[in-house]
Amino acid sequence: MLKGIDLFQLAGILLSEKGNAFAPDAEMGWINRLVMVLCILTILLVGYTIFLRGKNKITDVTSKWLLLIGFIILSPLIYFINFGVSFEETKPVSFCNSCHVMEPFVKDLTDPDSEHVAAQHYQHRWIADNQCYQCHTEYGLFGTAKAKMSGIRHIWKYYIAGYEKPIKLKGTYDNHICLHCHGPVEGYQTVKEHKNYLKDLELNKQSCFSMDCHVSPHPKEAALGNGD
Amino acid sequence: MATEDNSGRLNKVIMCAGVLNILGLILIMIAVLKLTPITLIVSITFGGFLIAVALILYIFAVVQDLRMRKVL
Repeated sequence: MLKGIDLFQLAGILLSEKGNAFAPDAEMGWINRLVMVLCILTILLVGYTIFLRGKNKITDVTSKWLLLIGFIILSPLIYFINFGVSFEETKPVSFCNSCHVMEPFVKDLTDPDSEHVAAQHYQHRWIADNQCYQCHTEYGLFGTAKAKMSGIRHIWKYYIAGYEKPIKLKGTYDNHICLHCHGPVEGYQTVKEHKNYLKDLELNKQSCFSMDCHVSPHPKEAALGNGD
Repeated sequence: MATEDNSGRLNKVIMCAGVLNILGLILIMIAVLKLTPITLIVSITFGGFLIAVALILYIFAVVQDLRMRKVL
Protein backbone atom coordinates (compact mmCIF):
# COMPACT_ATOMS: atom_id res chain seq x y z
CA MET A 1 0.00 0.00 0.00
CA LEU A 2 1.39 3.39 -0.95
CA LYS A 3 1.76 5.51 2.15
CA GLY A 4 2.69 8.75 0.38
CA ILE A 5 5.67 10.91 1.25
CA ASP A 6 5.91 14.27 2.92
CA LEU A 7 8.89 16.10 4.31
CA PHE A 8 8.04 15.27 7.92
CA GLN A 9 7.74 11.58 7.08
CA LEU A 10 11.05 11.70 5.25
CA ALA A 11 12.73 13.49 8.17
CA GLY A 12 11.27 10.88 10.53
CA ILE A 13 12.67 8.06 8.41
CA LEU A 14 16.06 9.75 8.21
CA LEU A 15 16.28 10.11 11.96
CA SER A 16 14.64 6.81 12.90
CA GLU A 17 16.42 3.56 13.60
CA LYS A 18 14.49 1.67 10.92
CA GLY A 19 17.72 1.02 9.10
CA ASN A 20 20.77 -0.03 11.06
CA ALA A 21 23.65 2.39 10.77
CA PHE A 22 26.29 0.71 8.68
CA ALA A 23 29.97 1.14 9.46
CA PRO A 24 31.92 1.73 6.25
CA ASP A 25 35.04 -0.23 5.38
CA ALA A 26 38.33 1.06 6.68
CA GLU A 27 39.42 1.66 3.08
CA MET A 28 36.47 3.98 2.59
CA GLY A 29 37.05 5.71 5.92
CA TRP A 30 39.59 8.21 4.65
CA ILE A 31 37.44 9.12 1.65
CA ASN A 32 34.46 9.66 3.95
CA ARG A 33 36.61 11.89 6.15
CA LEU A 34 37.71 13.79 3.03
CA VAL A 35 34.06 14.24 1.99
CA MET A 36 33.20 15.50 5.49
CA VAL A 37 36.08 18.00 5.52
CA LEU A 38 35.20 19.24 2.02
CA CYS A 39 31.51 19.54 3.01
CA ILE A 40 32.35 21.59 6.12
CA LEU A 41 34.78 23.80 4.19
CA THR A 42 32.23 24.42 1.44
CA ILE A 43 29.42 25.17 3.90
CA LEU A 44 31.70 27.62 5.73
CA LEU A 45 32.80 29.20 2.45
CA VAL A 46 29.29 29.62 1.06
CA GLY A 47 27.82 30.58 4.46
CA TYR A 48 30.53 33.18 5.06
CA THR A 49 30.16 34.69 1.59
CA ILE A 50 26.38 34.91 1.70
CA PHE A 51 25.56 35.59 5.34
CA LEU A 52 28.66 37.14 6.91
CA ARG A 53 30.26 39.30 4.20
CA GLY A 54 27.26 41.61 4.09
CA LYS A 55 24.29 41.76 1.79
CA ASN A 56 25.84 44.42 -0.47
CA LYS A 57 28.96 42.39 -1.04
CA ILE A 58 27.26 39.28 -2.42
CA THR A 59 27.78 40.35 -6.01
CA ASP A 60 31.26 41.85 -5.63
CA VAL A 61 34.25 40.23 -7.32
CA THR A 62 35.63 38.45 -4.23
CA SER A 63 32.23 36.94 -3.41
CA LYS A 64 31.81 35.78 -6.97
CA TRP A 65 35.16 34.00 -6.91
CA LEU A 66 34.44 32.44 -3.51
CA LEU A 67 31.02 31.27 -4.68
CA LEU A 68 32.48 30.02 -7.95
CA ILE A 69 34.82 27.79 -5.95
CA GLY A 70 31.95 26.67 -3.69
CA PHE A 71 29.27 26.10 -6.31
CA ILE A 72 31.16 25.01 -9.41
CA ILE A 73 34.25 23.26 -8.06
CA LEU A 74 33.77 21.98 -4.50
CA SER A 75 30.07 21.02 -4.44
CA PRO A 76 30.05 18.92 -7.65
CA LEU A 77 33.36 17.37 -6.59
CA ILE A 78 31.88 16.40 -3.20
CA TYR A 79 28.78 15.02 -4.88
CA PHE A 80 30.68 12.84 -7.35
CA ILE A 81 33.12 11.54 -4.71
CA ASN A 82 30.16 10.70 -2.46
CA PHE A 83 28.34 9.09 -5.40
CA GLY A 84 31.30 6.82 -6.18
CA VAL A 85 31.93 5.94 -2.55
CA SER A 86 28.24 5.25 -1.99
CA PHE A 87 28.15 2.75 -4.85
CA GLU A 88 31.09 0.91 -3.34
CA GLU A 89 29.60 0.96 0.14
CA THR A 90 26.38 -0.68 -0.99
CA LYS A 91 28.24 -3.86 -1.92
CA PRO A 92 29.19 -5.46 1.44
CA VAL A 93 26.92 -7.99 3.17
CA SER A 94 26.73 -5.65 6.17
CA PHE A 95 24.98 -3.04 4.02
CA CYS A 96 22.33 -5.54 2.89
CA ASN A 97 21.91 -6.47 6.54
CA SER A 98 21.12 -2.86 7.40
CA CYS A 99 17.52 -3.57 6.32
CA HIS A 100 15.92 -5.71 9.03
CA VAL A 101 14.14 -7.86 6.46
CA MET A 102 17.53 -9.20 5.36
CA GLU A 103 18.64 -10.21 8.84
CA PRO A 104 17.43 -13.86 8.68
CA PHE A 105 19.29 -14.31 5.38
CA VAL A 106 22.52 -12.91 6.79
CA LYS A 107 22.06 -14.87 10.02
CA ASP A 108 21.92 -18.04 7.95
CA LEU A 109 25.05 -16.99 6.04
CA THR A 110 27.02 -16.85 9.27
CA ASP A 111 25.48 -19.99 10.81
CA PRO A 112 28.23 -22.64 10.85
CA ASP A 113 25.60 -25.43 10.80
CA SER A 114 23.84 -24.10 7.72
CA GLU A 115 24.05 -26.22 4.59
CA HIS A 116 22.38 -23.71 2.31
CA VAL A 117 24.32 -22.80 -0.80
CA ALA A 118 24.70 -19.12 0.10
CA ALA A 119 26.03 -19.97 3.58
CA GLN A 120 28.51 -22.47 2.11
CA HIS A 121 29.78 -19.90 -0.37
CA TYR A 122 30.07 -17.32 2.41
CA GLN A 123 31.72 -19.46 5.06
CA HIS A 124 34.18 -21.22 2.77
CA ARG A 125 35.01 -17.90 1.14
CA TRP A 126 34.27 -19.36 -2.28
CA ILE A 127 33.27 -15.79 -2.92
CA ALA A 128 35.86 -13.62 -1.23
CA ASP A 129 33.71 -10.62 -0.33
CA ASN A 130 30.47 -8.75 -1.14
CA GLN A 131 28.75 -12.14 -1.35
CA CYS A 132 25.14 -10.84 -1.63
CA TYR A 133 26.16 -8.44 -4.36
CA GLN A 134 28.18 -11.01 -6.29
CA CYS A 135 25.31 -13.53 -6.45
CA HIS A 136 22.55 -11.00 -7.08
CA THR A 137 24.27 -8.95 -9.76
CA GLU A 138 24.24 -10.04 -13.34
CA TYR A 139 27.44 -9.94 -15.30
CA GLY A 140 27.78 -7.85 -18.42
CA LEU A 141 27.58 -4.19 -19.30
CA PHE A 142 24.33 -3.38 -17.52
CA GLY A 143 24.59 -5.85 -14.63
CA THR A 144 25.71 -3.28 -12.07
CA ALA A 145 23.18 -0.69 -13.25
CA LYS A 146 20.37 -3.26 -13.01
CA ALA A 147 21.51 -4.24 -9.52
CA LYS A 148 21.49 -0.60 -8.41
CA MET A 149 18.01 -0.08 -9.85
CA SER A 150 16.85 -3.17 -7.95
CA GLY A 151 18.42 -1.72 -4.81
CA ILE A 152 16.51 1.53 -5.26
CA ARG A 153 13.28 -0.46 -5.78
CA HIS A 154 13.98 -2.43 -2.59
CA ILE A 155 14.54 0.76 -0.59
CA TRP A 156 11.34 2.26 -2.01
CA LYS A 157 9.35 -0.82 -0.99
CA TYR A 158 11.05 -1.15 2.38
CA TYR A 159 10.52 2.44 3.50
CA ILE A 160 7.59 3.79 1.51
CA ALA A 161 5.43 1.44 -0.55
CA GLY A 162 5.53 -1.59 1.72
CA TYR A 163 5.95 -5.24 0.80
CA GLU A 164 4.34 -8.59 1.43
CA LYS A 165 5.81 -11.53 3.29
CA PRO A 166 7.21 -13.94 2.38
CA ILE A 167 9.47 -11.81 0.26
CA LYS A 168 10.24 -13.21 -3.18
CA LEU A 169 12.95 -12.77 -5.75
CA LYS A 170 11.60 -10.67 -8.60
CA GLY A 171 11.60 -12.70 -11.81
CA THR A 172 13.78 -15.73 -12.37
CA TYR A 173 17.25 -16.10 -10.94
CA ASP A 174 19.75 -15.82 -13.76
CA ASN A 175 21.78 -19.07 -13.94
CA HIS A 176 24.55 -17.21 -15.74
CA ILE A 177 25.58 -15.76 -12.38
CA CYS A 178 26.34 -19.31 -11.17
CA LEU A 179 27.73 -20.40 -14.53
CA HIS A 180 30.10 -17.44 -14.70
CA CYS A 181 32.27 -19.15 -12.05
CA HIS A 182 31.18 -22.79 -12.24
CA GLY A 183 30.67 -23.12 -16.00
CA PRO A 184 34.33 -23.29 -17.07
CA VAL A 185 35.29 -25.69 -14.23
CA GLU A 186 36.01 -29.27 -15.30
CA GLY A 187 34.18 -30.65 -12.26
CA TYR A 188 31.04 -28.92 -13.44
CA GLN A 189 31.36 -29.93 -17.07
CA THR A 190 31.84 -33.63 -16.34
CA VAL A 191 28.54 -33.97 -14.42
CA LYS A 192 26.05 -35.78 -16.69
CA GLU A 193 23.04 -33.71 -15.54
CA HIS A 194 24.82 -30.47 -16.33
CA LYS A 195 25.44 -31.69 -19.89
CA ASN A 196 21.86 -32.91 -20.30
CA TYR A 197 20.33 -29.67 -19.08
CA LEU A 198 22.95 -27.29 -20.42
CA LYS A 199 20.62 -25.52 -22.86
CA ASP A 200 17.81 -25.22 -20.30
CA LEU A 201 20.23 -23.91 -17.70
CA GLU A 202 21.63 -21.34 -20.09
CA LEU A 203 18.14 -20.20 -21.07
CA ASN A 204 17.01 -20.12 -17.42
CA LYS A 205 14.29 -22.66 -18.19
CA GLN A 206 15.73 -24.88 -15.49
CA SER A 207 16.88 -23.66 -12.10
CA CYS A 208 20.01 -25.04 -10.45
CA PHE A 209 17.90 -25.49 -7.30
CA SER A 210 14.92 -27.30 -8.79
CA MET A 211 14.55 -31.09 -9.09
CA ASP A 212 16.57 -31.46 -5.86
CA CYS A 213 19.80 -30.88 -7.78
CA HIS A 214 21.26 -28.39 -5.32
CA VAL A 215 20.31 -27.29 -1.82
CA SER A 216 18.23 -24.10 -1.65
CA PRO A 217 20.41 -20.96 -1.52
CA HIS A 218 18.59 -19.55 1.52
CA PRO A 219 16.31 -21.08 4.15
CA LYS A 220 12.66 -20.76 3.15
CA GLU A 221 11.65 -19.37 6.55
CA ALA A 222 14.10 -16.48 6.08
CA ALA A 223 11.74 -15.03 3.48
CA LEU A 224 9.17 -14.51 6.23
CA GLY A 225 11.53 -11.99 7.80
CA ASN A 226 11.70 -10.97 11.43
CA GLY A 227 11.75 -7.19 11.24
CA ASP A 228 9.77 -4.32 9.78
CA MET B 1 16.64 52.42 -10.26
CA ALA B 2 15.91 49.43 -12.46
CA THR B 3 19.55 48.36 -12.13
CA GLU B 4 19.31 48.49 -8.32
CA ASP B 5 16.15 46.37 -8.46
CA ASN B 6 17.89 43.84 -10.67
CA SER B 7 20.92 43.82 -8.41
CA GLY B 8 18.71 43.23 -5.38
CA ARG B 9 16.98 40.40 -7.22
CA LEU B 10 20.32 38.83 -8.12
CA ASN B 11 21.37 39.05 -4.47
CA LYS B 12 18.26 37.10 -3.53
CA VAL B 13 18.89 34.51 -6.25
CA ILE B 14 22.47 33.98 -5.05
CA MET B 15 21.35 33.78 -1.42
CA CYS B 16 18.74 31.23 -2.40
CA ALA B 17 21.40 29.25 -4.29
CA GLY B 18 23.65 29.37 -1.23
CA VAL B 19 20.94 28.07 1.10
CA LEU B 20 20.06 25.23 -1.33
CA ASN B 21 23.73 24.36 -1.71
CA ILE B 22 24.22 24.20 2.06
CA LEU B 23 21.11 22.02 2.44
CA GLY B 24 22.37 19.66 -0.28
CA LEU B 25 25.75 19.38 1.43
CA ILE B 26 24.08 18.71 4.80
CA LEU B 27 22.15 15.82 3.22
CA ILE B 28 25.44 14.40 1.94
CA MET B 29 26.99 14.81 5.40
CA ILE B 30 24.08 12.90 6.99
CA ALA B 31 24.76 9.95 4.67
CA VAL B 32 28.46 10.03 5.55
CA LEU B 33 27.75 10.24 9.29
CA LYS B 34 24.98 7.65 9.44
CA LEU B 35 24.93 5.42 6.40
CA THR B 36 21.64 3.59 5.96
CA PRO B 37 19.92 2.77 2.68
CA ILE B 38 17.53 5.71 3.05
CA THR B 39 20.19 8.31 3.94
CA LEU B 40 22.21 7.07 0.99
CA ILE B 41 19.36 7.46 -1.48
CA VAL B 42 18.31 10.82 -0.03
CA SER B 43 21.86 12.16 -0.26
CA ILE B 44 22.30 10.99 -3.84
CA THR B 45 18.89 12.12 -5.14
CA PHE B 46 17.75 15.11 -3.06
CA GLY B 47 21.30 16.21 -2.19
CA GLY B 48 22.32 16.07 -5.82
CA PHE B 49 19.13 17.83 -6.90
CA LEU B 50 19.65 20.71 -4.43
CA ILE B 51 23.30 21.12 -5.43
CA ALA B 52 22.35 21.10 -9.12
CA VAL B 53 19.59 23.69 -8.59
CA ALA B 54 22.00 25.88 -6.62
CA LEU B 55 24.53 25.65 -9.42
CA ILE B 56 21.93 26.58 -12.06
CA LEU B 57 20.73 29.54 -9.98
CA TYR B 58 24.30 30.74 -9.52
CA ILE B 59 25.05 30.51 -13.26
CA PHE B 60 21.76 32.27 -13.99
CA ALA B 61 22.71 35.09 -11.58
CA VAL B 62 26.19 35.43 -13.11
CA VAL B 63 24.79 35.54 -16.67
CA GLN B 64 22.17 38.13 -15.67
CA ASP B 65 24.86 40.21 -13.95
CA LEU B 66 27.06 40.10 -17.06
CA ARG B 67 24.07 41.12 -19.21
CA MET B 68 23.36 44.04 -16.90
CA ARG B 69 26.94 45.16 -17.33
CA LYS B 70 26.55 44.63 -21.08
CA VAL B 71 29.44 42.19 -21.18
CA LEU B 72 27.22 39.56 -22.79
